[in-house]
Amino acid sequence: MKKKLISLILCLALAVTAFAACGKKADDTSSSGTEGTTETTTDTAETTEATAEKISFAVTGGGEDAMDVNPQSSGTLLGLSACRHLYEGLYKLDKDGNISLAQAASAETSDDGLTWTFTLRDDITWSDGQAVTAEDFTYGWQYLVDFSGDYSSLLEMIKEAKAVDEKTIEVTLAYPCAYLPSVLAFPSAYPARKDYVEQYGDAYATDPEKSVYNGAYEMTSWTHQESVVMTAREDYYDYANITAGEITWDLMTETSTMLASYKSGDIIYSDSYPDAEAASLTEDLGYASGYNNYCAMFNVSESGPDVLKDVKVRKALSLAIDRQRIADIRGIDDELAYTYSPSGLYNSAGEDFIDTVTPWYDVDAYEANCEEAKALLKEAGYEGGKGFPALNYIVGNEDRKTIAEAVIGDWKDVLGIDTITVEIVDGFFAQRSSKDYDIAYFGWFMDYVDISNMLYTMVSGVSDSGFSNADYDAAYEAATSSPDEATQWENYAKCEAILAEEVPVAPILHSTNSYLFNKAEYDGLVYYCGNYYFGYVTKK
Amino acid sequence: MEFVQKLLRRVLLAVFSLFVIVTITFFLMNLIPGDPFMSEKATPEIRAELRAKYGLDQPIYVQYVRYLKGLVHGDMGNSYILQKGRAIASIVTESFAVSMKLGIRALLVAVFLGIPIGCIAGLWKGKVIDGFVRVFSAIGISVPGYVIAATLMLILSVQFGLLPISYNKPGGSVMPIIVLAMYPTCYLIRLTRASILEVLNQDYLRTERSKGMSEFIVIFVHALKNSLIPIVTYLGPLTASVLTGGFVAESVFNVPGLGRYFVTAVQNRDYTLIMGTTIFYAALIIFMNLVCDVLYQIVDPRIKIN
Repeated sequence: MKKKLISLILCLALAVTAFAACGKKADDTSSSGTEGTTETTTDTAETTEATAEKISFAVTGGGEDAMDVNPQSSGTLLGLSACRHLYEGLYKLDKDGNISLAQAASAETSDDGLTWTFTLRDDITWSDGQAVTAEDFTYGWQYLVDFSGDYSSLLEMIKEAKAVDEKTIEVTLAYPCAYLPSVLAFPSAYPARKDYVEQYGDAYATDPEKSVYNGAYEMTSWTHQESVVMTAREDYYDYANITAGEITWDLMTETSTMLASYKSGDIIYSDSYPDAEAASLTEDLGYASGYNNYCAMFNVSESGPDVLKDVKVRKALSLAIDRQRIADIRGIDDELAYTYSPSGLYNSAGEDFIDTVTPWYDVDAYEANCEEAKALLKEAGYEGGKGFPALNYIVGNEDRKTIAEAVIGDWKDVLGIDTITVEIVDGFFAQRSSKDYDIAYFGWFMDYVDISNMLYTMVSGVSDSGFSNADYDAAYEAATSSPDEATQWENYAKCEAILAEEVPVAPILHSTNSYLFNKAEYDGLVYYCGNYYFGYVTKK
Repeated sequence: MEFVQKLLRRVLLAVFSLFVIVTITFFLMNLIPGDPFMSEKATPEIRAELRAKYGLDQPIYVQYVRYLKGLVHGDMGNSYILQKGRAIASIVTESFAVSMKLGIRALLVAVFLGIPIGCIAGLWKGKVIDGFVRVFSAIGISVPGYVIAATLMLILSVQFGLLPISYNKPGGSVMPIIVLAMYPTCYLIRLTRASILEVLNQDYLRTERSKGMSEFIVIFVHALKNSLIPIVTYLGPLTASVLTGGFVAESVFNVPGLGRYFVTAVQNRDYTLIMGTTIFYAALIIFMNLVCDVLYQIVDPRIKIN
């Protein structure tokens, strides 16, 4: 069979070369052309290292649909990453992936932590030469709220933002929000130019001439569906430290095309690749903490099934999941989850948050967990799964269905429950948020590295599980409204403990982000919560 | 005069067909569960606001009437998702220009390779060359475009580095053209071969031969002309489909064409774009069929337009 397939492919190849003969001339020039340019780049990089010549390269992060470079509407990893190049907020991601001051020269906080005063740098301009003013920021924030995009509620901690003068912004908060810098470094909190937004309306930032940029780059061309080209701005205040002079963002949708382009050297970075190829790409893959979770969510709202209102049942279901087996199925080195929050959330003393909370269960003691699960189910009156009502488990796509099927397989083998069925539904998110389900996939990818961003998703009225717990809300509020780190962590730990007790979701995994990056020849990629920044990329 | 009248009737009929297509698509599209604003991060309130902003919260017939009104005035709205905020008309025309450029070349390859090779196979029926052509065309028809595209990419780009993967590089159009042309070429080969074989058995050819007409004229003037009728029938819809691009060729080789929108617009529930691409494609097919009918008359005067 295999031989036949190979010979078939060979036949095809023969036929194809015959066909391709007419295009030969074009190939010759093209291949030598590309080689030529690469060579010149190498040469200049080598000879003029001292004067820090800028390099050019191409990357990909997705297709046209994901390339939304209006910071206030963008919600995709590609769009947000592109925005981080074109625009800049009061804070930014620096070379080391930390949050540091950017368009703001200084930030002062009042003693109660409720008033923040930002003074803008003097040397910041838009790409049309106009100075960036305090009003550009306050307007951008108002535009975000009015826009109704995915992140419209990002700045909900801000009660009032005032442009005191050209260069000073005074922000009054509803509660002292210590992580404000992380939020202000997020693209949704970038400034916007009123004249452009008003002139172009919904078409704002949909073409290079329909926006102006205050970031390290300006967009020089956008061939729709094909590529976006960004060029470093010489009048950007930190131009000297930017090493990538021109970045071409090829808009690709097929993971196989991304991998082939990467392998042939056309691009140096790709955000995705065919999952099945991971094993053969260890040399090229970069890994970063994914800051996310992958869960099975129980509908504990009024409209949910009665059986899931019993915490013993929920606990039993969570304990019976063989997390190691699921990680093996996915085969991409996920961390097994034993808390809702992911690892990598450090305090100033360098402690990891999940090391300071009590684990929900011992993730390595699967057999003991199974025994406990059986006992709990028996107590709930469904010994051996007898009489367990039929439930549906909804997911949004094929990959998640595979995982959900593995989960219900555990429930069947361990607990004897064979009445749960998995279903892929169209309009998954809409159905889940209208609480029209019994069990559903839930996964949250954090937007910035602060525990609040993860625990926010279980606050009453926010969670699609319908989970509503006054103690949880109080602890969450106590944490976010305190300027003191110890108090925050104590209360966040309380939140975790309440979730562990109530189990409105069963955390399964925390996945690691992986991406293709030509580490052999390049250096300096900044990667943060799934966003990527190429400005400091250098050639080795 | 009669011809003009009949043509006019056909045009009116075409407009009516288009109206039916618009109506069916509009209601079918709204039957698919979900809406354009589905994402993990969007809260129900935000989704409700967005639905209100684009008028999707209104009753479906109100939306339908509003869409028709816009359409009559040439306004197809803006894309919700895939090219957020851009006008459908400019998305469709821009990407069609690219698809058409590729499509015309693919069509020329298909016609100028498919018809002659088909003739050769038919005239040398049962010989080695016929066998070879039949195997080749069978493969070309049955292997899915995705496999052809991936194989080409693997061999010509990754292994030997002969051709660039992306369309925007020099020589980048060669592989998409091959992928686009493969199926129609092979189909035309088979069609021409079958058609030639049928015509060759006709009595009038035997008569011509018996009258002493040269074999060349018999085959290339009389046989070929009459065997073209089924080919012309096929060329109409073929032109429409090749010109609007192929989903596989365009997404694999990064071609900024129209073809991939037929699938992605539906996947993303980008309502206005679904309508825009459907209307455009339908109009093109209707127009091509009309052109074919006219061409028939030239090839075979016995067929009257109607």
